[in-house]
Amino acid sequence: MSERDPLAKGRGSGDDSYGGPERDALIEETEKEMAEHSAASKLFDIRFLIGGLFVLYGAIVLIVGLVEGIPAKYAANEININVWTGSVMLVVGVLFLVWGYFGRDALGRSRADRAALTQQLEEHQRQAEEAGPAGP
Amino acid sequence: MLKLSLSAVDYVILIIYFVIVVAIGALARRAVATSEDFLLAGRSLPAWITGLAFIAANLGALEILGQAANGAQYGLMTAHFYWIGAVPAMVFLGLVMMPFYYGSRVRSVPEYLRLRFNKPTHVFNALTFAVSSVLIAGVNLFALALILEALLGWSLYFSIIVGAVFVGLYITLGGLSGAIYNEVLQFFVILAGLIPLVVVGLYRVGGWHGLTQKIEHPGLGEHTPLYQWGHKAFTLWEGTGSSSTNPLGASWFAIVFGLGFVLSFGYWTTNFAEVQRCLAAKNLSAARRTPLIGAYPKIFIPALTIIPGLIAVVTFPKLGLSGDPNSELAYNKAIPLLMGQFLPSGVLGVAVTGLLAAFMAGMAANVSSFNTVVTYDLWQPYVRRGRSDAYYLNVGRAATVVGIVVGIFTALIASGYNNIMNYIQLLFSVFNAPLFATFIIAMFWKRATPWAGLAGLIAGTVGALVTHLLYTGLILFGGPTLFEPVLHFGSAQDANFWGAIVAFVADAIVTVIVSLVTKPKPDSQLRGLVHGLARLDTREEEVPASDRVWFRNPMLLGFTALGLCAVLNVIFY
Repeated sequence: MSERDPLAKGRGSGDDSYGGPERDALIEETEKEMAEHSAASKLFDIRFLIGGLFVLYGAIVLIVGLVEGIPAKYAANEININVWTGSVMLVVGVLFLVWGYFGRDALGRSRADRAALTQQLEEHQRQAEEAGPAGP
Repeated sequence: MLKLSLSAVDYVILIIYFVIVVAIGALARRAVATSEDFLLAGRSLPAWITGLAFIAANLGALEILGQAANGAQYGLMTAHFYWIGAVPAMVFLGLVMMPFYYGSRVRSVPEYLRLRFNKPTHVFNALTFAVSSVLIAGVNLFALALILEALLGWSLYFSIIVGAVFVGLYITLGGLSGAIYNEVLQFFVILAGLIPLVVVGLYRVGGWHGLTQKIEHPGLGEHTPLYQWGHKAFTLWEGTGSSSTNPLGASWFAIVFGLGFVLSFGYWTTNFAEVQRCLAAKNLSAARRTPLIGAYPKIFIPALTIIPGLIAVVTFPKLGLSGDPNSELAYNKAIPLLMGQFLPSGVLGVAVTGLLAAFMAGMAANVSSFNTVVTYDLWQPYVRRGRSDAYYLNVGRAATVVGIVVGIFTALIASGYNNIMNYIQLLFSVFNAPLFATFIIAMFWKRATPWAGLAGLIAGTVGALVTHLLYTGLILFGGPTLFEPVLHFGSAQDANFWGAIVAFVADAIVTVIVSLVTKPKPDSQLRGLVHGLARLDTREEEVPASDRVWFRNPMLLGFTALGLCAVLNVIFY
């Protein structure tokens, strides 16, 4: 195994007196890139998508249940499962939307933090616009 | 005829879902700038998302249709897969093993073996994982196509291509974030489809009481074998003193050690398709809670798989009687049969969508772990070293496409197997069962040497393969019988449990013996990888203040889940 072998470096290089992090060269390569260029924080919030889809599905299923009633091929004393399922899906969907709106986001920021951040950004933009005429 | 009569509304629900699936991929695309963004979702997700994805990645084709089939065939004893098998293994992963996986910053499960043992062990494990991933992806794709063909009347080949294209689109675009987000969405949609099915089904058969009465007191005529067990169809442990006195055909020893200790621990704690969801969590605390949060839905999923199986047995008393897996009344068709029987247009669309989503998620989990192992465990260390991260990001994308295309061909292999459950059990017993012995020894015995890692894995794999061949007498991939089976077990599941025990024991014995005659690694190279040798740098292990609240305590979460399982075992003794 040559000295240049990235697999041999890192972990093997430290004995017990070596106080630094025990790192593997390949993993370190990936983590360095992550620290500098990761776009993971741009990931959207799935709660709005789940909420939106459930509100939509819930509404469709509820309307089908209300319009069609219990189809004739099912027993007459059957529960109207479309109405029940549609209503519950609608409620679950709204709960997800409320949670997404008022709860902490994926990065652990509260709604107030996010509002402050948005305001800051807008302020920044406004200042930039005032500072100099844009365009040609 | 099984083909469901879907109305326009059902198709609208289905089409909306396919649009959303691709939209998730496209939206997640913006969050991909580095290889780790793509392959490990940038290690940035909160625990509730990775926890639900952890469970949803497993809630695929084989789980839903297969466990409903098992419920119809073996009764309530199928719950052992959950309360003795999955949940304790998930708790063990979260409480005991996750600090070694997440804390060592490895990017995959095979990578742990590279650091803990040596390159040959690593290559062996990475290659077997890559092969098993595409084979299992093929099974999921084939099962997806079967359901599209059966329910919607699409041709098998067209269905395979459609499934592959959609899965390929959203993973190639959004990477692991796309896969995980789709899994979370799928989890809720499948619940929205299965819960109404169980409610209407139970209502029709007269509730739990009606269900038990109808199986214990069958009328005249032919009935599926479960009826002959009477009330034992609703117990967990009665008659497990011997393998011939209970519906599952397995003794308590095979259940506890084969299913519980070896098979389930092997699957849940070393299968990278599962562990990858934990590695995508934003910190060690969230990574540990991933399988623990997943354990709670897992405890209650039997209500959505086993109970439909039992309802199907009551509704269709001849279910599974012919023994032909392709018949209209095969065990595997329990859930689709009930959907056609009980669900009106509207909910039916949601249920069909949930099933298709589950099949896609199952395949996506395999492909999204395959591309990571190919990139980080095969290409980067052994094929092209020292390239830019952007290069490896492209390798990851290319590996995704290759995985999908190979999956189409392995789907054709699966289609040649007349019982896909037997095929998948073969894959699991050969590729998964031996791993647990290697990992548990690796993490708790620092004397285990690099070469013992490789020798143990090979011994376990060969042991599992030999047991399977001696039981079935079959050559791989559905070839002709080479010789008469020489081993006999209580049932196919019993054989499966014992195969796992053989693999575990063979792996453990060989690992220990080889360790005693070869040279171990110095302690300095094992820090953070073995119990008792903490990292000198413990930055990763600090728990953020927001995670120190009592309801985020891993110990509390884990032991509450175990307690719930214990209570359920007592109630349904």
